Amino acid sequence: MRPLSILITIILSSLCQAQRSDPTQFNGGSTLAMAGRNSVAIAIDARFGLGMQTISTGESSDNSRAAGEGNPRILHLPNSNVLLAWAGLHGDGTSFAEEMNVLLARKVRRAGCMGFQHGSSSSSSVVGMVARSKMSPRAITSLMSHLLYGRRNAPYYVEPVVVGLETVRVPIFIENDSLPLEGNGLQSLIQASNAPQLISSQNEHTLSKQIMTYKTMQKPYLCGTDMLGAQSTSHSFVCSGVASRSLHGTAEALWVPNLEGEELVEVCGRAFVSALERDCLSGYGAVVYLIQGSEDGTEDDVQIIEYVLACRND
Amino acid sequence: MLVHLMLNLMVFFSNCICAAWAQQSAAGQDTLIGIVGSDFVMMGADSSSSGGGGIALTSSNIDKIAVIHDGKGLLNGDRMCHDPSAECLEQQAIAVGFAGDAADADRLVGMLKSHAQIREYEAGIGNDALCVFDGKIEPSTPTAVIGALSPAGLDAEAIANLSRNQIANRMRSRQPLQLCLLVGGMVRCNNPGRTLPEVEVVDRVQKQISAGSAEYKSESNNQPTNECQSPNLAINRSRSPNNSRSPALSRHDQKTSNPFLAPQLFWLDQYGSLQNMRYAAHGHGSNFAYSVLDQRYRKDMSRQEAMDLIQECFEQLRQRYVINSPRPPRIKCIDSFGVTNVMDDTMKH
Repeated sequence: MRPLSILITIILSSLCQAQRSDPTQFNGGSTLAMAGRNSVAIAIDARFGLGMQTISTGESSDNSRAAGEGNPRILHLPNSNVLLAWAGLHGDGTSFAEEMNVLLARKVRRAGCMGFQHGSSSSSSVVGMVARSKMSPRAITSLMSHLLYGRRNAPYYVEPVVVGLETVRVPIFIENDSLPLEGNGLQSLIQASNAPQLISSQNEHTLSKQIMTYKTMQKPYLCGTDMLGAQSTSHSFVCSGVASRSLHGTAEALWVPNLEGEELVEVCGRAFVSALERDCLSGYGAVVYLIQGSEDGTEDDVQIIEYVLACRND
Repeated sequence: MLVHLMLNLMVFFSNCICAAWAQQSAAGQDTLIGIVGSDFVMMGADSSSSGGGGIALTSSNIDKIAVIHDGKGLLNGDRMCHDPSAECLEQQAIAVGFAGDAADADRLVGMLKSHAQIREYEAGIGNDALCVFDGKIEPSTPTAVIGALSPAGLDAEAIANLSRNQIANRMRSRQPLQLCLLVGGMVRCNNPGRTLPEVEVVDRVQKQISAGSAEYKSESNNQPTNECQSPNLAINRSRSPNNSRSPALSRHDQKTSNPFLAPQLFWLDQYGSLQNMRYAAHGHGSNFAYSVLDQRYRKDMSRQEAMDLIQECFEQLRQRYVINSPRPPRIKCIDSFGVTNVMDDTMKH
């Protein structure tokens, strides 16, 4: 019993010391991601420091980059529907970014899905298959979790956030009284839509036929992982970084469902900047990236827009 | 069962140790300052060493700015990059200022020098062989033979990333590299037409300072002069014109700079972080240096202005930093002509 109590005392004291200098909070930085109806937004700040001392706020001496691109937060754009960002220890963040780069490049090359559209997706004749044109955010999150847990004994001190639009197949029901049950009309309808199934529901009062067909849409996807790769997806928001406690509060208060593009940017930006008002380890500039899906949820016309916000300089 | 428990505790312990080391910067008593100017990088370092944090100065003429590559070709000292229209594909000068453990620094700098030399050799720089194709003599520069647009050898960004990789890989081993670096050099930039964007944070800080001091001055007109009215700045301003203009500086100031080359400064710490910055500092003296640099840095400074600014930082250290550095600091200027000693041990303080 004696050695056990001594061990517990040692562990507790070193825990206290560890909390005082948490590597995840050493360099500062926060991120917040929110989902709208068919768009997602992610906000990142621009402070890099050593504990209390601020070293860099993102102005690099490289004049071939844009004004905001020296941002210390690590931000990745693997393809046009996913954005990755992480806060945490910057050295580990850079090493992790390099590993992700190598693996993503390898997978993308092997799968042949570089993001270029080869033919339209509706020409796929195999039932149940959607043409793989881009790596989905869910797949990238799985890869990220795998990499992070692979370093279980000496983890990377990063807290990644994945946002994107993922393609899902949503069943839609078409009610059409005038459809004939058999005949060529139905066959042509089956051939025209993707993998249809005919469900005929015969009511006692009316003979209405329902046809269930699938429509591919882009839905927002948000996922935050901890430094060991445990995923937590959400329909509303995810946050990470030093100000994550305040961010949970402001985002919960301000988020409403079904936000549209610029509205989403405003809500996300406001929640982010308000939380950073009370946090001295983040700040010095906020940038919001909006991944805007198209109106009807199809895969074309995805835009990624960058908004630079004014933020508190401390 | 107890063995299993102890094994778990050991793993947890090692994690706690990893977490607990994130306390102090490795560059304790050394001071490094770097500034990016219009077409040069100026780096300053103090010249004393106390054997890694002891109380006695063991040496006062240490040169903490190592020259990885001096930017001169193997055969001729004259470079082609002075011509503004030439695309600079030759190896540029790179200097690395190091702070922290001297043995680690020595080893890393030696490794960087070897890498730079190997890459320069492999790129064929300084090779005087003439290439003859079909009886016609091609121009003798090896770049014509290589024909690629990629710059030869390693540039400052490559050296910085190489150092970062070394530091990050060793960080979780038994002996991490206790080293902080500043890497400066001219890097070939891809779109030469862009101008450096405004330094936003520095502008905001300076506006706040001038607004604050304007308010203070209007108050002090009604009151007897207060001694606290920034005496240090007054002293510094009167002292800097007394520093003799270094002859090495004025020679290069009037040259037109090559638009294909941009000065870059990289800041690395012992945890594997890498930042590209306009001005940077390491060590306990960085707390003082950042304040002076925030107030006085402008983009596109001339060499004399940059040297004065670094002198001012070290002057502030002499006034307020508890660790005394008896000899003058080493200041070096890295540009497309090479590495110039702006101030070293032979010059008067």
